Amino acid sequence: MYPVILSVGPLAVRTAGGMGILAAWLASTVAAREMSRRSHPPDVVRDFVVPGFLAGFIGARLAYVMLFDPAWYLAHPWQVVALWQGGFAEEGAFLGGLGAAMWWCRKRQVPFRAFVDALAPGLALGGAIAHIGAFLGGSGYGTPTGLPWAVTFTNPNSSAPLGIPLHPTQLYESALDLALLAGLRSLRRCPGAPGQQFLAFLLGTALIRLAVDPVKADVIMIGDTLTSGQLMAAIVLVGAGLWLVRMGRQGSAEGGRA
Amino acid sequence: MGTVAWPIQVTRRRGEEWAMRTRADRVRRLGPDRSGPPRGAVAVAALVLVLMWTGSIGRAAWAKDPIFATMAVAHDTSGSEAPGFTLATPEGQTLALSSFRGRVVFLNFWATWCPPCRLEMPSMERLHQEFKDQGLAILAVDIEESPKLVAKFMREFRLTFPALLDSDSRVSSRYAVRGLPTTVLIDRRGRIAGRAIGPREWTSPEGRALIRSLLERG
Repeated sequence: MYPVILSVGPLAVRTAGGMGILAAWLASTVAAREMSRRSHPPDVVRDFVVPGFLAGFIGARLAYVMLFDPAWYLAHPWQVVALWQGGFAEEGAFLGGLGAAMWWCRKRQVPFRAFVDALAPGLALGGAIAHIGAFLGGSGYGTPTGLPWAVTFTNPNSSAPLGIPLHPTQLYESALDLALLAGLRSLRRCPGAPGQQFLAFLLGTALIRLAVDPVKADVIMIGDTLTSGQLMAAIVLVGAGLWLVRMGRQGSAEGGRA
Repeated sequence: MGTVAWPIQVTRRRGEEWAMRTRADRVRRLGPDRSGPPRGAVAVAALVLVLMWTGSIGRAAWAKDPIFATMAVAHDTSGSEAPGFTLATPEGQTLALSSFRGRVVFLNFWATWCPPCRLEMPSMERLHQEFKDQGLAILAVDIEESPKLVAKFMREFRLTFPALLDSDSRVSSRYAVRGLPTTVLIDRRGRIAGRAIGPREWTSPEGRALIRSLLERG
């Protein structure tokens, strides 16, 4: 749709990049408010924006390089930093951000669960915005479809194939991210153990991935049937499930003592 | 005045720092915060990243022959032989330019990250469908990209002409390719007939006329 928002001479700010930064900023604002609601200093979150964003960015690129065509990138190592040519994988952004959050909590001495709980709604909101950015830039596009709400990309700067009606997968993901945000907000009314918000975010995001990937075309295939996103979602679902079981046990143990 | 050292090791016990609610509070107790990353440097880093996400488009065109001129294709009348090459397709086969002798070769240099290249691809596909049986061979030479990426692109854009991988840019430098896309038109006798820098609408009436004129020349 509108892949470039601002161009000065030969330089152009890509809409996806600009929306990514807007998403990070809004996410941090929401997360900072969540942090002070939990009686922790909001600065810990605000200062995390840049290292968190960088870790996610680097993680996304490394994941793309390692999942898409590692042998070729091994033979052409300088191409790894050819960022203007695109090529990022969300799974890497998640892992990079998670790693950075763990390191940050240790460094700033904040409890990890409270920290990621505060991040959860911000991340859902950020995801909704970032996917709109992806839509405008044409990345993360869907498979061809005859449905009435199919979108056809025409701008040559779009990453998507031009002139073919496609599933607007980015908008599906954006809408589902907003639904997840609403879910997280309503979950706040029944307070649970620390980590509850983040756990719900993990489960929700994994389910969104599993639901959308079948109609997404801009994906990395692991083997012939599975996308990298589905593989990651499956791993996250198992991990979050184990955490949920442990949380349930601890909860009932405390209940028994009371 | 000068920097005053504060007993940071003493005040930074576990659990204490995050209990200090606001920055002002922390500044009052500890002095200015030096533990976080410097914000200015970080903002600059973010800006640099955004700017790296950019593309530049260079194009130049000139022409002599009227039918070449209408398409802004530089007409090469020197009769110089097109440099030969053998390149691999993403599927692992190899194709040699010499095997297309007797046909008009539409040699397009491109990359998946190049927006103007993407722009002209659909018109190249229509050209391919229209003229392939009349002696036109379209070869899309990708510059230094992964075979998997090129194969994915060809599949998603539904392109049926062959893609070739110039994995070390040797062929594009022999053809003196300076900007993408560059299209070199080679006549039936293997001589370079014309060169277009930048995208064209190849299925416009002028574009079709140019291709027909090349097909008709012996």
